[in-house]
Amino acid sequence: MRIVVNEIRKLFSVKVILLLLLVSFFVYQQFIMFEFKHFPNGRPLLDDFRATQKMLVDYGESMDSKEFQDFKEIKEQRIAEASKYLKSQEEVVAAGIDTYEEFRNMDLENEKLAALHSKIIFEDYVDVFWEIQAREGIIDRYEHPERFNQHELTHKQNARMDELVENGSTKAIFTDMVFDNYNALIRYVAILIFLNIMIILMPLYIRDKRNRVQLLQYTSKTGRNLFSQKLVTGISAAMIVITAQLAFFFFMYRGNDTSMFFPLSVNSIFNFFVSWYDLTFFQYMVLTVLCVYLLGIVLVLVGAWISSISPNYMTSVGLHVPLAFLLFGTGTTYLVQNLTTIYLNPYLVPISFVIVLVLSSLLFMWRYRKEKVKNI
Amino acid sequence: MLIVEDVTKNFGQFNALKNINLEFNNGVYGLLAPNGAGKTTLIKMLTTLLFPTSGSIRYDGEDIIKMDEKYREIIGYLPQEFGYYKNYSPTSYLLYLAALKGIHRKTAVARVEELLKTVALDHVANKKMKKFSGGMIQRVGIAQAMLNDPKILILDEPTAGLDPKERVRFRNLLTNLARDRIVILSTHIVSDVESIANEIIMIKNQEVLYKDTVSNICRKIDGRVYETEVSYEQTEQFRSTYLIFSEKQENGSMYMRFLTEDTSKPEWKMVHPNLEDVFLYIYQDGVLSDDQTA
Amino acid sequence: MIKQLEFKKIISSPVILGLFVLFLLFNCFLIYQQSSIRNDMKSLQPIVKETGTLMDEEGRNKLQTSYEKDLTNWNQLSKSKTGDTYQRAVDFYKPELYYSLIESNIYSEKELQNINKLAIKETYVSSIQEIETLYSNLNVMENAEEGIRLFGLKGAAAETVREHYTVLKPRVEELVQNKEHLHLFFHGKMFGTHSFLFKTLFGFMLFQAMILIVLFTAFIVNYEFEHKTSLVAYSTKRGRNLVWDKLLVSIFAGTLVTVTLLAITLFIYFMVFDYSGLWNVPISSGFLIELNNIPFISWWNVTFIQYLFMTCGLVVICQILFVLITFCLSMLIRNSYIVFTLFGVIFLAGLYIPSIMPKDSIMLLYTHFSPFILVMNVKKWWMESGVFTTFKYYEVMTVTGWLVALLLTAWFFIKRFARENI
Repeated sequence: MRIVVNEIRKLFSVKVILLLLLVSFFVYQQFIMFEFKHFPNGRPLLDDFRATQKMLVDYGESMDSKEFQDFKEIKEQRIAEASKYLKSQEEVVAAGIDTYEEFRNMDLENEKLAALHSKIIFEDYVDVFWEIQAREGIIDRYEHPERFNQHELTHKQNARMDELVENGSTKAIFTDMVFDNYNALIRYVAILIFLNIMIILMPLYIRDKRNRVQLLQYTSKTGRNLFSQKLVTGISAAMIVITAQLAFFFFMYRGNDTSMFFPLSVNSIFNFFVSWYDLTFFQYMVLTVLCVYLLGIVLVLVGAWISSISPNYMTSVGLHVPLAFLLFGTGTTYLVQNLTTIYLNPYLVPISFVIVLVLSSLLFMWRYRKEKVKNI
Repeated sequence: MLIVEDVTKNFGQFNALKNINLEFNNGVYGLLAPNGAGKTTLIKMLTTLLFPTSGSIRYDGEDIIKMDEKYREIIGYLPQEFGYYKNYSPTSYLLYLAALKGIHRKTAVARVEELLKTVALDHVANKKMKKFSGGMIQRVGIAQAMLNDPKILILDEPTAGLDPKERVRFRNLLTNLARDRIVILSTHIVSDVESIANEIIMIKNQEVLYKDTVSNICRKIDGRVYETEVSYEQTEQFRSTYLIFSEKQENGSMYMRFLTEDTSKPEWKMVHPNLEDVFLYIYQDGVLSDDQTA
Repeated sequence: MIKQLEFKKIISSPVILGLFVLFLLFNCFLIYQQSSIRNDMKSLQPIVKETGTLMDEEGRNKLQTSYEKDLTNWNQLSKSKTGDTYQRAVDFYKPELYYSLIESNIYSEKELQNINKLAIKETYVSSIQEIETLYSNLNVMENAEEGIRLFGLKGAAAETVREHYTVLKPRVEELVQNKEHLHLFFHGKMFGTHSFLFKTLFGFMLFQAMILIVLFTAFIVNYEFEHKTSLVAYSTKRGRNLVWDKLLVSIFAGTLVTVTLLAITLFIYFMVFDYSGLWNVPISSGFLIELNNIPFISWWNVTFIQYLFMTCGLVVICQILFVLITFCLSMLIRNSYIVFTLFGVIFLAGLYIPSIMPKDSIMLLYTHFSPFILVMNVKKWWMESGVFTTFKYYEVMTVTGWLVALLLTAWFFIKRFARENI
């Protein structure tokens, strides 16, 4: 244990911590902050989000037909408000428009009318007009659940879709905005975490090997077992980094104010994502976090292997390039995002994890065996 | 008791050591050979860094490779060139190695303090090693080897970088230590071991040539070593006739120490051979190139 | 001799070679993925042969006649087969008819190819009018204002943007007068060749070369320190001037890597996609316009091949900038993997800095003159490229400015190194 602590301390030198902070700062600024600052990203998404939030407050987790009637009525009220607003606007009345219906069906080819339209919507940002549009969108989706099942799907996928419609999961007041936003975020965070792990573990073996400290290490009581102790070190360091990064991320994520969506099913009609399992948004989040940890362990195994075979840092960094490419691209797309999606085989993710874990462990084990009998 | 039995080590086609048989009891052993003779290979095998191609090394009857950490627990090793972390102080560096050596933390703290005093580094115990001189680093290395109070202390060129005063101190330290442990000292500096080694091991042509006390080894060429004065004109002639051990200018002529099988001449003065003479005598023909070291 | 030996250190590294091959394979894969459209693209060459690339009054008439002739031919065939005639070739692809036609196997493979070619020709024909309208209504000042509004520019920054666009205005007039926009080229909305070649492919190549360059520059500069040969190497006759050799070799190797990567990848690209007859089409052709409907307005009247070479040249110079940046970092920091990470940090910082500049400050525009922002937008090099970087000499200014600054910094570091305690 003391050995591992010592090794961890060696990895987290002040220089490296500073480097990690710098990298994290810029990755946050460049990629992550955007999803925080611009959530929901402009209009009409903002109005969509507000309407959804109000639905949640008014109707609870899902909307039955009575509540849906109410929802529709609110829309009618808003239309009345909009008409009232239009009547109060002299230019509009002058142009012969005094109801919302007329406003909607206005001839936008006519330049004068188009200018009026864009003034109300885009310059004055009159909320009620945006809200009506958002509500219409939601009503449209709710009234046409059959679209949910419109893709060309296999029998199994279709059955799953039908099942979801039947058990009412599709009626959850969830929204794709929240889901897509989280998915985009967790991917960036995962990439940042993997980047951090790579930076930290780069010197794991190389440093002592190049430094000739290895001579002393391998003749001490611990001896060549240090090789596996260093793996424990790597995994611990990775866990520290993952936990710290995730803690910070979820602290920041609170600002997106999505907690009311946590207990809702992700299989909602208002979300484009369909899962093989009856997951709530919170469960889905837990699943992504779990996968980040697992991928982190795989990365440690492969990274440790690279560090132990590379004669110098150039080789090590060079070997990390294709690894990063695979991990940041394919890895995050299939093993962090879109988990349990109906469009992929349900066994793909677990089998992939088993394969990468076994392969990377074998790689490391093989190296460890060789190290045991190596002439130093 | 440490026994090396029929040990051969090959690196691919290259034969570094063959059929080595040695026995170590408590005391100081000087491993004397020119660079490239296989000293480091032997030492690395004694420290489990290299594995014999054939033969075995046993401690108290047990194979050291099978003993694994039980063996490494009782050895202390100072490599010829060893690594350290520039940003560590000697204290934190020694504590780090103490952890690897499985020394209990509390014991380690006291031990480190004590050892740093022994090697006279207590005044810089918490300074970063970045700015240390070669001699200071070497002393940290010596301290590190003694951390676990080893039963077998193996030192590869330990006096490199030490000044004469430090050398003397170091020799005394070793003599004390050797009372109840095996100390194996590899060096090509004859004076380092001459006075303190109980036995000298000489390796030649990948094999052990001698393993004996200093006096016994010196006896091998007893009666054949002389000193004499030679005039400058005769120097060249003299050099090609006899094996010269040393020469220096004095009073307008050359003062020569040499070895010969010829019968003594009156102007020659017979002297007692020392270890250095034997060394030069043995390795006179085969000056091995350095790059053959493993 | 010293330089050759230093160069050997780079070349003999299996990692550099391995990555290089891997990158090439990846580029081949990208091209392969895109290659499905090569046959459709090829149908442009017969058209060009028939009418030439310039779609002025004359060319357009030729194309129109040729198209009408083909359509009549097709209608005769279709009438005889199904009794249908088509007003336009695309009507053939209306889903309500198309699937039943395909299933009933009425048309042979060859005939289907013909209608496909005809539909493509039709797209070219109908695009001409679109392009003319677009360019006759084109007001770059409006684009500038829109950009200014979109990014919330104010004060001096907004004024400068307006000035730059005022300079662009006569160029647009000239472009229209030259009829540069009316030259046939692979249809951007159908094929998106410009984006694929100059954004995807060049983008990847830029980063690939950059990775290799940063790796070996950091490696070679600190080679002596990592191999503990510094004491020997820097006390020789050549001594500390050795870093000059290292710098020159890095620049040479960087250029070599970039040129080779570009040459091989582009060679494969042009083997797969036939550009014959189109090399001399102006790059500002309206046919290049892609789905976002933004025209490509180059600052000079350059042809595709000229543009390609100008771009390759700029890529090489950018890579030399990266060599210099890495060199300077390596002179400061002896650990190559930290240099590598720091380079990444600096790259990100270069992209980030403009976003913290005040919206009314001219600094906002100046901070865009950086190689990092430059390499992110190869597709719009030498062209109108949005409010921040539309400046006639943007590319030239950026690279010369940085080249001079970095050379001076490198020189300073070398001088400093000459007196450093090793």
